[in-house]
Parts: sequence; structure tokens; C-alpha cells
Amino acid sequence: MSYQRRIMKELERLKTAPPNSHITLVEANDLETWQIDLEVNNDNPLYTGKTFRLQFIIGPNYPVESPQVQFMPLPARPIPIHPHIYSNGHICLDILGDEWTPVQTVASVCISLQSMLGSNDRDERPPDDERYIKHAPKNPKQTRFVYHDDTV
Amino acid sequence: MPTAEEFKTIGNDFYSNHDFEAAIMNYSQAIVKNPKNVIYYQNRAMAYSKLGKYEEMERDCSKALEILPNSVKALYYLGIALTALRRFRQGAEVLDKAYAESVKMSSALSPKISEQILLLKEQRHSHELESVRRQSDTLLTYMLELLEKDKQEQLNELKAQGLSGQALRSERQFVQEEFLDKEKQIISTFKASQKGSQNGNSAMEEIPDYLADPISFNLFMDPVVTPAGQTYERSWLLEHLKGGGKDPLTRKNLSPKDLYPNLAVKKAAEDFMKRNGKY
Repeated sequence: MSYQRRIMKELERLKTAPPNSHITLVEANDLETWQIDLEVNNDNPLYTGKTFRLQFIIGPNYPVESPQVQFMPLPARPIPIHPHIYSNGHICLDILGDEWTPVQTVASVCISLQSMLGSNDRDERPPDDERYIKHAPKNPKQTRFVYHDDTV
Repeated sequence: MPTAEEFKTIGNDFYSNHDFEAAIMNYSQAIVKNPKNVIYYQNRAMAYSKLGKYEEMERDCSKALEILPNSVKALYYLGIALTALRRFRQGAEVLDKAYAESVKMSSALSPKISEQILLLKEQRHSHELESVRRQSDTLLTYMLELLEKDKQEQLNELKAQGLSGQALRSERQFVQEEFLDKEKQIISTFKASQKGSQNGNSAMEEIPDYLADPISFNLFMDPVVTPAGQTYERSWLLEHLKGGGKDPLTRKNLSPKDLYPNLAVKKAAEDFMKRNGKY
């Protein structure tokens, strides 16, 4: 495993020095699946007071390939309502797909999602939510998201 | 009777089931059938390494290299074996060659080899510290023995001076205490100097961000600079460029021929490794 060291260093940093107090590592038992609690770090009324659970699956080719990232529905951990987040937790975000580059990290993805939520003012799901979740693959990386609607 | 290739396949199956002894037996059969195939030696070398048998591993790698002198995999495995056997100088030479060949062939092993080079340097550093420490321990023992001898001589002298009773007892105590103090001082001086040499001069430094590759997070070993001025570890950047060829930060097109070595950063990273022995 060539990439183990980077993953361990990232994990260590996330544990000891998270980018901000609204990003909390919950567990990462096997280095492969990480659970992270995320809150917005502004006062956006759509999300304040809520905590969301993110799951990262770090594949064998990470960081050359992107991690598999989604929100997980749990008690007291809803899926955030957002025009780019499907109700099954899948996220339509370019840096998780074609625009991923290996200088990004789990922490930087968390920050991107934080700002994606923080700047949103539309209390709605993607227009194709119902259709998508019916046929969605388990792994959101297998979806060819169309990154439309750059206004959000 | 199975063919050499069949023996290899059986060996691989045992290997993936973590039965390394059985894997070795089958690779050996394959080698008997066909002693000219480097893969059999390489596979057996890996199985040996799983059992911690680095001398056997070294031997198989050397055989593979007799057949195919520039085999990246055999050179890399040989480097692993030599690192484990603490033959650091030879290991460093082999790994440098493995790295050069690997980059030339744009082999996917390059990042692993560069990491092994750093690992060897780290282990060599702690090995050197350890031997310095052992030397200083030997010296300390010797000093304490000398001190003890000196003390005995002084105590014997008191008797020779003809002291007795209370006077002798208090003089003896005086000498005992004086030597206990000296012993404490010597020990603490040694400990302080050992601590100093272990930590460089002060506390262990963390790797500064400007000496760490933004992709692997490792200390730079062979840094290259892009037209955008960003520095990356060559092998990891090349792995990334295989899929699309974009600069990881600017997302502009980037080709391996646009990369230049960053010699100043390389020197600074080597200096950091010398002082701190970690990557």
C-alpha cells in the first residue's frame, strides 16, 4: 500500500487539528471508512443548529483517485436539503468527480461542503431527486452527474 | 506433473491466502522447471519477505537481476531486503538505481520506491543514533568503573593514615558522599548529551509544509517544479498525470516534459532528513 502514509497523516491532522470546530472526526476504524460530523460555520438559517454526518470511503488509489463521499441519514443526522444534494445523501459536486485532484484532502472536501451549504438559500432538493434515488447506484462515484446550474 | 507456470499459479494462490511457506515451495518447483524466469524469483522473494527471511529474499532478487539486470521490481525488492538487513549503503545504491529505472519506464512502482528511499534514510539515521548511544553507554560504564576504583583507593588511604573510630567513620562518609555526587553528575551529563544528539539540537522539528509534497505528504526526495511554480514529488505527480494530465492546483494542461527538478528544495529536504531523520 503505497498511499497508507498519506492517509495516516491526514487522519492524524484531522484528529488533532481539524480545519474548524464544525468539522469533527467521529470514527475511522479501518483507515478506509471515515465518519465525520459537519455543521455550517455561518448563521445560514437553513442549516444552523443541525449536524450532518458525512461518510468518506478511501479507495486503494486515493489520493490519485477521489474518495467516495456522501451524507448518511442517521437519527439526529438528517440529509441537508440543497439543490445539489439528493435525498439519499449523494452529492453532486464537481471536485468529487472530474475536478478531483490529489492535492485535495478529506479536510478540504469538508470545507468545500461547508461553504456549499453555507452559501445556499434554496430550501429544495435537485429537480430530478425522485427519479435519481430510484435508480441510483450504491456508490455515488458511478453516477455521471451533470454539473448544471452553477448559480447555486 | 504441472508446468513451471502452473506451479507459479499455485504459488500465487497460496500467497494470496497468506500461506507463504507453501507459496515458496511452489515457486521453487517453478524455478526447478524453468530457472530463467525472473518472475518466479521475484515472487519467491516477496514470499520470503513476508516471513522475515531477508537473506533468502536478497538471494532471489540477485538471481533475478542476473537474468534481467534492470528489472525495476527486482531492484526494488532487493532494496527492501537490504534495508531490512541494515546494509544501508548498498541498499541506497540499489534503490537509487531502481528509482532511476522506474521513472525512465514510467512504472507505477515509482512512488513506492521513492517512499522506500526515505524509509531507508530514516532507518539509517536512527541506526546511527543508536550506535552513538551504545558507544556512549560503554564509555559511561567505563567512567563509573574508574570512579569506583578511585573511591576504593581513597577509602583505603584513610585506613593507611591510621584513622579509627568516630574520626574514620565521618571521613569515610565524607568520601562516600563526595563520590555519590560525582557519579550523579557524570550520569546526568551523559543522559543530557544523549538526549541532545537524539533530538538534533533542540526538540524534533515537524516537517515544514514547504518541504512536504502536497500529494503524498512525504518529505521531498525528488522534487520537480511546474510552470505554475508549484513543487511536487516527481513520482506522485507523474502518477496523477497519467489520468488526464492537468496541474493539480491550476487544472491547466501539464505534461511531464514541462517539469524541472527543484534542486534547492531537494537540498533543503536532504538537510532536514540529516538533522531529524524522518520523512
